[in-house]
Amino acid sequence: MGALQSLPSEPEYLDLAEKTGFSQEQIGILHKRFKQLSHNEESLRKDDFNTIPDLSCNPIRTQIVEAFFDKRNFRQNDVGHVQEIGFEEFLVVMSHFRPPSLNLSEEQRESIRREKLRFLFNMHDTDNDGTITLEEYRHVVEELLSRSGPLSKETAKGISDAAMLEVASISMGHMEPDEFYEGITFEHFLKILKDIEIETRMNIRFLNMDTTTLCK
Amino acid sequence: MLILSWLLLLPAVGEAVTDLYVTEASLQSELGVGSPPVPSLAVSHFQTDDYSSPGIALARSAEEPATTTEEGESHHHGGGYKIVQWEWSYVQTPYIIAIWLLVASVAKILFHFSQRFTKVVPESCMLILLGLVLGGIVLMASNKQLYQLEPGLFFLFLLPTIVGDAGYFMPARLFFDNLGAILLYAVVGTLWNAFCTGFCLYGVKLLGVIDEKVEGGLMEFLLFGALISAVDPVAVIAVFEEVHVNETLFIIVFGESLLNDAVTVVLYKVYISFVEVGPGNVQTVDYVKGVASFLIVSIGGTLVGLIFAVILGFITRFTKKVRIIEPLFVFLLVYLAYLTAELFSLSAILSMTFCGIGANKYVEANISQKSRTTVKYTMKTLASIAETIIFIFLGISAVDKSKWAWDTGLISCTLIFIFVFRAMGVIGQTWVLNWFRLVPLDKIDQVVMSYGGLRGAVAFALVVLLDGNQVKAKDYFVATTIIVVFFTVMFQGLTIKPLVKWLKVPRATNRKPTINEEIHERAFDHILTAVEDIAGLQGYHHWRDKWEQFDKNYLSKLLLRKSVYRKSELWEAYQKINIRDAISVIDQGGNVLTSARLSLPSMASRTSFPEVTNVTNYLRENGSGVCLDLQVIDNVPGAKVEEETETHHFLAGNLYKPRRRYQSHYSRHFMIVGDKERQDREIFQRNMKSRMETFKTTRHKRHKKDRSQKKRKGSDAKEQELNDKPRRNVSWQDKDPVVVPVDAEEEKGEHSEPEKEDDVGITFVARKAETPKERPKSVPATLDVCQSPSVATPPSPTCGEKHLPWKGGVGTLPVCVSMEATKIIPIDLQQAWNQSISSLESLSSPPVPAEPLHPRVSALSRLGASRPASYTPPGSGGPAAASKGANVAQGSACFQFPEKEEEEEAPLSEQQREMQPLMSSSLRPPGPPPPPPPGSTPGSGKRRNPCVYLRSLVTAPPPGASEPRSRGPTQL
Repeated sequence: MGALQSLPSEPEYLDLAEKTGFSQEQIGILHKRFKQLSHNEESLRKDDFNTIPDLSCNPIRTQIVEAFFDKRNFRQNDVGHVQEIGFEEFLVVMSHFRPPSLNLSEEQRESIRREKLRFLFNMHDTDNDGTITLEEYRHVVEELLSRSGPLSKETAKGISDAAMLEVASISMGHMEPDEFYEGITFEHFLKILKDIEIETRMNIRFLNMDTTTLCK
Repeated sequence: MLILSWLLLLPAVGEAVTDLYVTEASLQSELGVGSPPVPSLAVSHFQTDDYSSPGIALARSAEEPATTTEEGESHHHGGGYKIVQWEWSYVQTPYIIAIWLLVASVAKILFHFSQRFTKVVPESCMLILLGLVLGGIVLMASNKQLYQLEPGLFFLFLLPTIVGDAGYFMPARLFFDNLGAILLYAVVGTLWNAFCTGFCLYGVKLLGVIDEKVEGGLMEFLLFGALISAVDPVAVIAVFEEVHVNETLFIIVFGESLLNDAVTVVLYKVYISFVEVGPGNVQTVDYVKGVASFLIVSIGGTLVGLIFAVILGFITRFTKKVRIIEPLFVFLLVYLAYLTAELFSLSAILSMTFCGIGANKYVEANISQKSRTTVKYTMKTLASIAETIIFIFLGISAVDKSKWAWDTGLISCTLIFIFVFRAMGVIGQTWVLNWFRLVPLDKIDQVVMSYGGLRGAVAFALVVLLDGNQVKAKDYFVATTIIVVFFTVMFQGLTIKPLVKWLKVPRATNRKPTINEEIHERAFDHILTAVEDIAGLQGYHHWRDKWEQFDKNYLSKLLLRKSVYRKSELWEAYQKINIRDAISVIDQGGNVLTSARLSLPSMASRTSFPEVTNVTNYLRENGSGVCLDLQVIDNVPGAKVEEETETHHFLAGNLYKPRRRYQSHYSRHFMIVGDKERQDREIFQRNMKSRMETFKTTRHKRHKKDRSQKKRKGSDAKEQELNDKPRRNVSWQDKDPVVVPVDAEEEKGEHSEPEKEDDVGITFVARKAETPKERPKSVPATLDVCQSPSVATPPSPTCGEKHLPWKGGVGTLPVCVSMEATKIIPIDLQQAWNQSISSLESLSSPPVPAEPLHPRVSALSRLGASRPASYTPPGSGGPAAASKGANVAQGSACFQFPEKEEEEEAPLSEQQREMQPLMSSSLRPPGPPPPPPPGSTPGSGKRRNPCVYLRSLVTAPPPGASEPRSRGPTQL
């Protein structure tokens, strides 16, 4: 834990811990990682993310990286994009993936669920107009399949179209033929994913132990 | 019910029993011909069976030489030719096996007669009871139990079928997601149970609770503890399949029951050797050897399994020419994995399980759909029957005087200990596990896991295998094991369902994930991996992703056929959903909603996996999915069955069978494929046709009005602009002169009288809209067409109606077209789609612009139709407006007719019909649409108009539907 000494002072951590729900050890580790990524700068830019080797083969990496620079994910009711993020924003975005505590009331669970889904939704809703349009959805699917070779382009279209229609049929019920489905709103998004236990799925384990040295 | 099964089984059993002892030619011919009489049960004095000998029970007992002769026999025909010969000894073994299988299967049928009954009582209980009854009969008949669950039979044949099925259909993702927990329970949990039970029993024995007659030292009791403590896969599958707890819970209990095999095998062997050498001679080295042996047995078993998995994957890669034996490879190699592990005395269950899990992905991708179905059905059938036999034989084995070495102390203590230690073990391990699990196992889960620790046939087979000379208390152990197995399977099996209900354990849903769920599940994986990477953590997702990449880059390349290599699971899901939609469309006879959801796989995909599109197969497939539920195939939920039969009826009644001579095929090596594809196309076109017709009659009426109104507003303004820029239209008309001649050629016959056709069209139009008949056949003329209505558009509704054909044509007809097309038409099918639409159009409603006949004009309309987006006027006067105007023109030109038809259905229809032949000829749309313009850019980002959206889905829409493309934000 010698690394901690070079990091911001404890009170600052306390503040962040309260805000994000991470433990101080976790914050310490993440901070170290932050410094590592930003090359000891105070802020992190998109280029810094591109240097992570493991990320380079992730098909939806651009979306995920975008999410880190999206103000909607900073829990400040703000919209737009930023070019650089500080450690606090980094932590706040990360905290979307924090596992929920063990004993939760039904409402808490629901709110966590909404929050996580909101994060996903924002990630797909790139133009922030409150709906995931077909085009945006296609983009998502295309990227998802971008590693699977030549078939993927047209397949992605087909899949996203089918998925969109499915959403339309699930969320709108019977549609008149000339009705037009604008896109997936957040409510519909909740609806179509209601069977996925996202509050238990969209988590990663943040270690209290330092392993960053293992990564390049 | 039971009585019935009794009666039914009696002769069979009697026959089997009797026949065992009858030598060839010893039976009267009537017995051979007629039904065997029951009296033959009186063979009580033939006691030839040495049932404790290892081997195959049935075969063994059958082979027992019937040394003595029967009283009634003796008709030794000295010589001469016998017309009917009694060749019992020849068919004996397979005959008895077949009879037993029949008995077991019939028993299953009988149990499922009463739904109410089977809901409460698990099948395994019923089978054991049946076994008891049968055993009683056999015992009464022969005074000695002839049959019992032979360890050899069990381990070599019955168990592998069940484990093979379980391993092959193991939900791999779920399994590996929970691998940590499974391993902990399987290894630590089993060790804990074994030691605690063994030591405590020994302690109780020392205390004198267990009778003196139960001879045994510490080693014997530890041995007993080892074999009695392992949770049994057969029992777990049998009981849990009917309980349907949530999948995580199931996979943990089930995975544990499979993976604890290594522990059990090692403990069992180690203790046996300790018992042999005597506890005094055991040295520390032996314990170390034991540990080493455990590692070798488990890791070795796993490796053997994985090696066979690779071999299997590799072999199925090359079975393209011999599809018919594909399933055989699967069975053989999986079974070989088991046998090979047995050969080296490694953990066979582990080996087989991992072979199944490992190979599944590649095999399923490589083999054909038919083979997949075959594999699934055969495995389920075998596993199901093996399970049935196991439970029946467990029951039968219990009815045996030699096993009734009852010791109340031992039995009750064992029952208590295994239950208590199981619970303690689960709670302790879960407590540790929950430190690490993201999704902790709560108390309810723990209760179910403790209660679900069922013991079964493995324990029984192991205890029977004990050497009675070395383990003096063998009989007591056997009796205790039987009681324990019966108690856990019957009592716990009976009560676990109510318990689960009472505890409100989350149940498994038998639901297929929707395509959106699939997409998001996929996305989750990548997101989580990415976040782990960003956070610099090397967690589970990180490694899973690494593995996936390895798999993709190397393993899949090695083990998958090239044709399937690139396909993703999402694609699979998409295909299935397509088919589901197609089915529902057919099912509901072209209902609007579903038609709106129709999508079909592209031709490309058909060629690469033709089988997937088979509706019937899909329905069948859909019944079971990948699951471990042995029952699932025969217990398809009622609704599903109904739905299925309905679909089948509907299909049978409505499907167009391609006209094709049926060719019987004689080849044993190949099965004819290819019909299907053709049929799919037929179905597709037929549906299209019928739906087109319905649209024609209903759709327009409903939506005509608002639509046309909408259009009108826009077009007014647009046309003005358009008029300002006639030159531009001309210029882009010139760009695409090629298509028209082709058209003209095609329609040569009709073209011979172009004037007439023109007249017809124009006349018709003129009546309504007062369009001048002699319109110059030039580009401006077309513009006029569109212009005239708009100019004349007065606010009065009647007037509007009049012009509807012109304006509405843009909105309405395309709607009907796009309705059809709305659905995602796979790119490859689009041509076919368009063709069928256009042909329909020409048939039912002459869409026609009178003008298109003229080459130049039709060129123009074509351009308007298919290229609006690409057209960017040189001037800056409002390109969108201009192109839209052009579209309006096009639309009105093409689709005026249908509108009229709607408006004045009665009077016009007659006329229309008369005109049809003429019209249709002129109207044939310009053939396959040109590929979408490369540089097309979306007009305006907002899609307000439904048809715009709908049509935007269509790559190459039919002529009338093309307008939206200019505005549709998404170009395909």
